[in-house]
Amino acid sequence: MEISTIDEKNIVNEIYDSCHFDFRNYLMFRRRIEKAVRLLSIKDMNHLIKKIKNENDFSDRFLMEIFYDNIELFRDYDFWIYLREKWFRQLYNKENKIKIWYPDISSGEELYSMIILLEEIGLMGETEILATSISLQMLLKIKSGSVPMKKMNHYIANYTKINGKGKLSDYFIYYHDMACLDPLLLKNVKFIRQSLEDNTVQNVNLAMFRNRMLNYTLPLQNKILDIIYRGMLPGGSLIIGVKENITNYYRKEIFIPENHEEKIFKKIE
Amino acid sequence: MYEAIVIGGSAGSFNVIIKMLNELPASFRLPLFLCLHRLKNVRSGFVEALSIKSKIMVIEPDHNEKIRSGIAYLAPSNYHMLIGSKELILLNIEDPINHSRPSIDILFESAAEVYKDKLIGIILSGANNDGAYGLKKIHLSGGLTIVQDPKDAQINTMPDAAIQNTTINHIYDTEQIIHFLTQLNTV
Repeated sequence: MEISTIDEKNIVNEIYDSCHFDFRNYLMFRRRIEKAVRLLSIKDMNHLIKKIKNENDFSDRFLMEIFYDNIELFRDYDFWIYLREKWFRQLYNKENKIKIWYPDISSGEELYSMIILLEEIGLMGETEILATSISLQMLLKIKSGSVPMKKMNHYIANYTKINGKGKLSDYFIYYHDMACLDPLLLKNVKFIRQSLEDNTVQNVNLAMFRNRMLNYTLPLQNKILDIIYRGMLPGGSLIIGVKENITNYYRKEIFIPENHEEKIFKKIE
Repeated sequence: MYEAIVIGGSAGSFNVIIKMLNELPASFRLPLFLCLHRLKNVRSGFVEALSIKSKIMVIEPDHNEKIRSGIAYLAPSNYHMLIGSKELILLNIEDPINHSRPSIDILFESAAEVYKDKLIGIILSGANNDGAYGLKKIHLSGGLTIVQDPKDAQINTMPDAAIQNTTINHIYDTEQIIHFLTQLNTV
């Protein structure tokens, strides 16, 4: 169903009032609402607004459906190969634990790709992973480790492209219509419910922020990059999507390009 | 009068696009937005292949790329390309439409919203229906619709689907499409 500009405005205002989350600076937000409305089979805008207002569970679920990104496992296999062969192996001294942060996480698969990669290069014990989101249901969904079974063949093909060490199916428990990442692999990931504005994460070596900036208008991008910058250690790396850039970031000189192809930037030391 | 051209194609469209880019003059005034179905994980090589004899610069835009006249913007692999405004290209990673990402429908629909009757939409050879819905949106917003003649197209599924779905202003073969676009430059 097509959402009118007025509907969009009403929904944004209601979410702001009820959930204290400001979507006024999100790009193409109307498309995201349309997606959530489809997934939740909502047919009436007034009804939707009432539910957001009155039902906490519903509004949290609605937020999750708006923002959950169906990203494939090992999307951009060149990037994952580079991360494994160069970034982890050569660019890192392993004295301290490597702290990896997923600010405003919106994809399970991006996290699971990292976990599988770390497991295969024997660095799981040397890393600390934090995933933050304002949506509890988002965190629960990602923590469950579940991926749709119908995508597994596609994921296996991607895993083959990165020359994975074993078999992808070894990392998952197969159910009827979904597969779940082995819970043991998720045990050491800290899932923290908080907004970026209230961020408490600090001393991060690697901020994984691929294809997240696609959601934000430029003023909001600036604000969020500031927050991520403050959470990082000097010399730490920020990774964004392969077709994103920080050219419009008002303080772009604080992030030095580390790898142009894979959009890896280093926080100035 | 017209301010932008969006072109969608799949299997069999590559040669048409190459010919077009090689014959359009370097002084071509309008931005061209190309959505060609492509190998998903192949991030480089396509732009280079299109650029070989092209007189027009071909770019794969980043998200938030500024739109400049006389440039051909090729939708990057595994992203949808949208027109955000007359100044900006946006990318996103929504689900593929009919297994296609980039999707022609998504490009055409967003372009129709921004450019309205100042838009020309062209559908070329291809093996699926992507673009039929988008071309309809262009027509409904007052834009001009062109389809490669199914008899001229290497694979006629995509042109036929578009013809079935909406009013087409011109059904042209490759030569006629290029001639039409070249004429635009002199207006």
